[in-house]
Amino acid sequence: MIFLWLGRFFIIFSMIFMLIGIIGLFRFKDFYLRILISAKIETVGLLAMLIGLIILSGVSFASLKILLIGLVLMFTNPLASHAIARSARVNGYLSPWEKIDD
Amino acid sequence: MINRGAIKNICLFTLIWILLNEKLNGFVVLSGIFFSVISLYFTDKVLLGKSYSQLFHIPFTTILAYLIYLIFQIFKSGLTAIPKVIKGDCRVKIVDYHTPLNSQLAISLLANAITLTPGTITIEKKGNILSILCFDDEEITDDPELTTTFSKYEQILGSLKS
Amino acid sequence: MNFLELVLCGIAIYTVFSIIRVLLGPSIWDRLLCLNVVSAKIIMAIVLLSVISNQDYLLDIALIYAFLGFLGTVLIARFIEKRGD
Repeated sequence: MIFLWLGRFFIIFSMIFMLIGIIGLFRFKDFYLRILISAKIETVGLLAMLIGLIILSGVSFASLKILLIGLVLMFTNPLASHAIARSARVNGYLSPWEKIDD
Repeated sequence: MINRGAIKNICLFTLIWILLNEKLNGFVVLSGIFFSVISLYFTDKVLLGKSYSQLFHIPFTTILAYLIYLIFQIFKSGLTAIPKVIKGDCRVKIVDYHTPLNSQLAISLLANAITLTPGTITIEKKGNILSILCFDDEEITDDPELTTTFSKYEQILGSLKS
Repeated sequence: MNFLELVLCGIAIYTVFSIIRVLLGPSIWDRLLCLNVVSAKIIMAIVLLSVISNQDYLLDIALIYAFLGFLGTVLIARFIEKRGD
């Protein structure tokens, strides 16, 4: 019973986090702020959701496989966002306030 | 060619093979060992040219401490990033951070952890200088004394040798 | 309506808003960033569907989708970094 409510707590927590991430995606005008906050909060929501589903499905091969998916995402998601940020920076994509300063 | 690191890697790959098959019997274990040996041999001879087991050798306790501290840290800084979304306007800056680690694998794992936490992203890595994109009001400077979060990662990863 | 099915409907609504952001984004990096978010949502929806309907083979599809989404994002980012060379 306690595991059921712990899993549901993690899932509700992740839904709140993803809602904040989506609000941030529409609210910020700056690309670098979006990649700093919103996309990363999405990743936190993803990991919380996977932890909640592991707790809900108990000890089985399926929950171990969800753990494997979580580990893969923890090592590949930073690489993707690093590649996007570096590509934008190398090509000279500026923030709005950097254009004002020059 | 056969050393302790290679045997550990073969056991790990066989475990992942069993996990992907979702059943445990003799045929699955034997085919898992067979494919693990083949893929390790192919990686050593064709892709890397060096020994994979010695190049990417991470002790199990190190990776466990790293993952537990990383999960704790991303939830903590995710909660502190919520007021910034509500407030709506911030500025970003790029700082250079000089890390005392000297193993390339440890520096890559540190950059991975920095990118996964909300609020900081590693943009470039040259030697042991990392360019970090962060908020304008955070105190990340070149001085390693100020950044206690990063020095905890460096303490965990410091046991890795290059 | 189950609790997990309700969560799946919520994720579908989030995905629609992320796709609207992909269509709005002014530069290609904005679109790429939001595409990464959409791919994370799809992985989450597949894992949820697998837990709801109790079919384990959907987890393999989620694993492959994680690798393919990562590969696509990194490839496009590296390609436009060198301006197509």
